[in-house]
Amino acid sequence: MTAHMPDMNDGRTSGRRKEPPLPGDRPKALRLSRQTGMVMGMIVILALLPLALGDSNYTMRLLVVSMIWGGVAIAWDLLLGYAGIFNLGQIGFFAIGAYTSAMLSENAGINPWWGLLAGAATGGIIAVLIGLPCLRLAGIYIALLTLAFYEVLAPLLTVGAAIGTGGKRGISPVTPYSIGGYTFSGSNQIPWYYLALGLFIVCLAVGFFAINSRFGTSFVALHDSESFAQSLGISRYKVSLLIVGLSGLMTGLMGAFYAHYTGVVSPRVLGLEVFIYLVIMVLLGGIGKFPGPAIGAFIIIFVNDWLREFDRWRLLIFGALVVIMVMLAPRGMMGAIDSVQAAVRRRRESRPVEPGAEETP
Amino acid sequence: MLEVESINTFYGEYQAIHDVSLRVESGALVSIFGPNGHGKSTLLKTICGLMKPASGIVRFEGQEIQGLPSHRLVEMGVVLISEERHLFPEMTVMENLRLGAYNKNARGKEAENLELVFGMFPRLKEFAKKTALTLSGGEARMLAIGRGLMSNAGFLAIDEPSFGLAPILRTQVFEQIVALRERGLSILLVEQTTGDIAEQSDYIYLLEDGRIAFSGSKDEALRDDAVRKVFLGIT
Amino acid sequence: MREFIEVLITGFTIGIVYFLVAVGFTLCYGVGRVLNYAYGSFFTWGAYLAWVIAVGYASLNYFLVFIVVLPIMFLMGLAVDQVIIRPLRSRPEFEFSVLLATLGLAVFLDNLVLVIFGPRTKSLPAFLEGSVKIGGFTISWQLLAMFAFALVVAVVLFVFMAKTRTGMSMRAVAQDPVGARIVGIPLYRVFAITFGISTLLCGAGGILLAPRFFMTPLGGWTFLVKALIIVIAGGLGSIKGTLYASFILGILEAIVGWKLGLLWVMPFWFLVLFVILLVRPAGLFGATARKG
Repeated sequence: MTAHMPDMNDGRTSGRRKEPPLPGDRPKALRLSRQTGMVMGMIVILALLPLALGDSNYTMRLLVVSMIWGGVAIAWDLLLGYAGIFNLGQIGFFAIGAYTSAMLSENAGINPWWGLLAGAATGGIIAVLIGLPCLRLAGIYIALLTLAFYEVLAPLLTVGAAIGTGGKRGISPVTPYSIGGYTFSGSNQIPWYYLALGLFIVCLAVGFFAINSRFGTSFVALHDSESFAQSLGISRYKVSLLIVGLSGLMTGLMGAFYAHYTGVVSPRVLGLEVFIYLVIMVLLGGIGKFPGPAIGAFIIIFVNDWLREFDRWRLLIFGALVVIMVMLAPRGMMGAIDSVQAAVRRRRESRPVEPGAEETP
Repeated sequence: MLEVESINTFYGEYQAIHDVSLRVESGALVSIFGPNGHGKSTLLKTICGLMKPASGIVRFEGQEIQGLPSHRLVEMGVVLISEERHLFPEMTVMENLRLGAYNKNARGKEAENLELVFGMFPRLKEFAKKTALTLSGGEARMLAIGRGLMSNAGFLAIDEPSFGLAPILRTQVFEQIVALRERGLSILLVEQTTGDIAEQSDYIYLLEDGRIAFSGSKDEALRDDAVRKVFLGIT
Repeated sequence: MREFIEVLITGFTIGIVYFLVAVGFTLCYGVGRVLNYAYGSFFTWGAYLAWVIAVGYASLNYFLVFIVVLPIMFLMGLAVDQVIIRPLRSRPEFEFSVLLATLGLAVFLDNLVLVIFGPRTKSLPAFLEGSVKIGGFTISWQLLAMFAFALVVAVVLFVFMAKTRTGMSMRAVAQDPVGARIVGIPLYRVFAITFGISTLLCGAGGILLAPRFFMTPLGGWTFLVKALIIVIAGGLGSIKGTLYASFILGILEAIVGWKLGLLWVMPFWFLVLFVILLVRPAGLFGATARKG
């Protein structure tokens, strides 16, 4: 069963058919091994990279940010590409995780390490709370309501100065982590790096198991064929809620880390710029093509950095890029690779196998 | 007048129509019978431009029309009266009828055709101000046919006009369809099973599993025992 | 008390302008099935174009601004529909693709404004100065003009939708697209016109509201959200619902802005939306929102 771009009408509009499986869609075993390979590869490379980079603080910073957004991209893709839920409020969970952790450590003096758990928890809970009414509704309503949630969060946080959100300015500084006697600081990126890597691995793992476990394939099955899944006694609603919760959890976790990493939280994190970045990351990597979106995150963070000088034009370019990608390459990199591999496989399969024929080099 | 040559139509990977060919001569009433779900509606939709065949040709008055957008076909006079009716639920009967005359050729004749439709279905005139949503099954069916007639068609494809209607209404509808033929329209009619319309048809096709299983004149159909018993209900 | 009535009048006027903006959005989705993420950006463009005409060139004449900017907005809408949206219609995941594409477009348009006009807030001075006393209440001419223009646009829109062939074809497509094809309505042409009109209405809102709000390149987003909230509260696809919701929320805005400050407007809007949805999950007059 393959994941495909969500169809907002759930196929109900007359004349619009659900897209048939892509020709040459890879059988599950192949897909699994490719995913495993890529995930393992990423983890190994990331784990060893600091040895090669040595002192390059700046590059490590970029990598840490990439891992943060890579985790969020995976979390979002779970909903978008696998469960078929258009949650436009994903960044909202991120902000909630960030604010929760920051408020706990700055206003209540609680150790930031607990903030990670708290951020993840609030992210997950809010996600489920939003999911409760949304998931019974048709696709367009989910999009509209989650969009409304996203857009209202910033004003809410701004007027929430009274309860300690720090208003327009936000909260700053935010206490960094400490282990034993050592306090994390901006000058040494290594501890941040490996902490981020740990969290990133958590996200990868959750994503991987969500998609590939029996539980995971069941919710993909639900999306594609409700009646079949229902005949197996699976409640779409419950499974969807679980996925939403997990997604919110992962995102909130990364948000919490982000708060202590950058040392500041403000409503700016809910800005459009951040959202559009997330969109491009997922588009580039390929919606529903785990772990593509995470790879997309790394690419975008670095490209964005290279384009730093173009300041004003940067976003202009990114905006145009999104339009172009949607129109010309909607399945992202992974999708393009899929198509190439499928074409190759088809050509190989159509050639008749003669006994004794030599393998063409 | 209308020729269909070897068309194949798919829903995604599923093939609904297999290599179907048929003809409707000018001014003829041709019927297609067959069990449900065997492609009759798909065939009509393909002919009338709501679906595109994967291969094959549909020719109307010598011109190839397959693949053309449906509004072009309506302009040419090829009109579908769909089994699902597809009326505009929040518009009145009157508005629905007026929209039936949307295409260029029908606009000038709107008043004339309106009279024709009200003549055929006087009940519609009574309900002119009711919204389509509030109509009963039979009234909605009449409106669908009436709206189709407003388009000033030369060729009508009618999909199960009598479905779900009480017997009296059924006969009435069939009488109107025959009357249309008398006025010079060419009609391609799809029905599940019925005896009375078969009597009036100039030519009959049987569609089974998306393929033409039988084609011939009414008399030939009557002579074919199997066709007679199973599908025409004529003893 | 007097002040309260004046606030109500302001709210009522804002309501009718919001109605225009919300209707444009509803039409876009109802007829064309497009969730136009760039709606706010069109709003911004309407406002900035008005600024260019009003401050850059001729006298601050409302008529002139309307006559020049509205057609431009319409053409802009047509262009976007033909270039970006139409090619996507053949895809099964159309609605989702168009949402992402318009998001990209929004960022592009916003930053185009930024690049051309700079980041600093601009303000469009009121088109009319002074105020008039009616029945003991002081009402600014600006407010009256806003009301008058919005009313005219709304009436024209209603007549257009109800009586003209094009308007009826738009309604037909919204109610049953297959039925529309059956009667020979050219779908793509209707989609294009609808998107053009939607953009035009959005721009009209931008022109009318620009003197009231500070104009920034990102200013349009608030209005996308407002249109969204109005449309959801009123019920997706219901013009009547949009009408009621616009007035309720417009008056709410005026009152909240008066008593608590503009910053509280959005939270209150969200609260009201939440309450409405609790009682009526599909909005005030919406058809069922449930799946299947």
